[in-house]
Amino acid sequence: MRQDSPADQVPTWEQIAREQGRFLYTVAYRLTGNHEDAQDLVQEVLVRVRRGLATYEPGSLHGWLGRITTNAFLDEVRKRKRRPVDPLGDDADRIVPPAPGADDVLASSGLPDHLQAALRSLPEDYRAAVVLCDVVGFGYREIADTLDVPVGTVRSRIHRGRGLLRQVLQ
Amino acid sequence: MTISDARDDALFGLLDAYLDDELTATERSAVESLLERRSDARAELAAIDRVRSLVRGLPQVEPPFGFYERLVRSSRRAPGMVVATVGAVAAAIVLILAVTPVVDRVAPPVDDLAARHTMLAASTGEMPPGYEPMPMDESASTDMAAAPPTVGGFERMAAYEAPEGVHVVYALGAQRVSVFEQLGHVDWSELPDGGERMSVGEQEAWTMSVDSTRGRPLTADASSVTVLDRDGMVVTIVGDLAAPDARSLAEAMPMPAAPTVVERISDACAWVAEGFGFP
Repeated sequence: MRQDSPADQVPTWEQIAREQGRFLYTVAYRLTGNHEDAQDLVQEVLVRVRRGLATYEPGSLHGWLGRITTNAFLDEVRKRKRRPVDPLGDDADRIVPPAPGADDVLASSGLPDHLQAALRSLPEDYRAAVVLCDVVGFGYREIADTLDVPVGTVRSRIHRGRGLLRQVLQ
Repeated sequence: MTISDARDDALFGLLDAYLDDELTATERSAVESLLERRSDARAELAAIDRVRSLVRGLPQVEPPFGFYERLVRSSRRAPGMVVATVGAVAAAIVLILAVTPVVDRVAPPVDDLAARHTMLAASTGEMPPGYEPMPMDESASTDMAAAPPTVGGFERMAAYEAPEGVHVVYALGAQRVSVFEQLGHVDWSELPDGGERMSVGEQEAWTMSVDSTRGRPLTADASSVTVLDRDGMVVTIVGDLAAPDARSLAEAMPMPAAPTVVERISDACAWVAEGFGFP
């Protein structure tokens, strides 16, 4: 999913909204699992993007946006945890709609919904690592830098995250 | 458990990183040795690969109708929004609480929109003043086109940034229809005489056609105009459509997401900042 802008160009805020809008929205939706929260997250991300453009160093635009989106998501998760009402939740045992096994899912027309529900059932830290790896396309080092954790922790979160996904899908 | 078993268990934990090509040469070699020795490791690797492929194959997600358009327009109206003064923000919040919703009342320039539709429907390459084409190809930014790719059987043909909002041209065979979008609520009292109020679904609407205007032709290619008020987005449909067809098309237009509190605060900040004379 990587698609970076030319290395010597600093995009404008509007260019990012226009040209990276779908990418941003996809990452936000995969992280939050619903459109309402995804819209709120993208709005917050664009506020941060505007603030951060002055210090943006041309390079991997998707990497930069992926980091901002994930950090904004995790900040919101932490905020919600401080409040009792938490529609996002972080319970790995959350009840998700009955889903067929992984192989059946692969052949099913309803795959994205089942998979999105399974993704949403992951604890946020695992979900962020899996989304950064498999949706944004980050390497483990970049994920570690984004989440401010050691590479070994990233390995572990991706391993456990995918393992939980398999359990939910089976 | 033997030391060898414990070592194998640890190697099982590296299978994800092995697939992601994130192991050192030594680790990779150890994992490959495990895969050679144990069929359950190979089965585990295949299972991980299936889930990994599923997630990697998830499609991109389209934002709701008009979402980015609203954000960008909001931003243009509030270039200093992010650094708005505390006073302006406080005043905006008071406004939000006291006079919600803070949105413009707008009256689409019906005759002018009809003329612009005629110009673009002719496909001569000529554009109305102040128009900028919006990218339509997949590699660029269809995500910014505020209208859906298809609506009521019509396919999106071109999109433009217009001075008041977005102008999208749809085609069905040789038939052309324009959809204009602008932020705000309809100021019904400012619409031309000769139209009639109606409702589309639960939304208020207004329509005017050649038949109902007692011979007032709009343009050669625009025989009807329908204006919809869709929760903060004014949608104007112009085209050579019979009244029932215009209504069907209006009903097929998706609803934009209702403005969020953030958007409303953003609008109010812009309004207040302008009042204070900020750029």
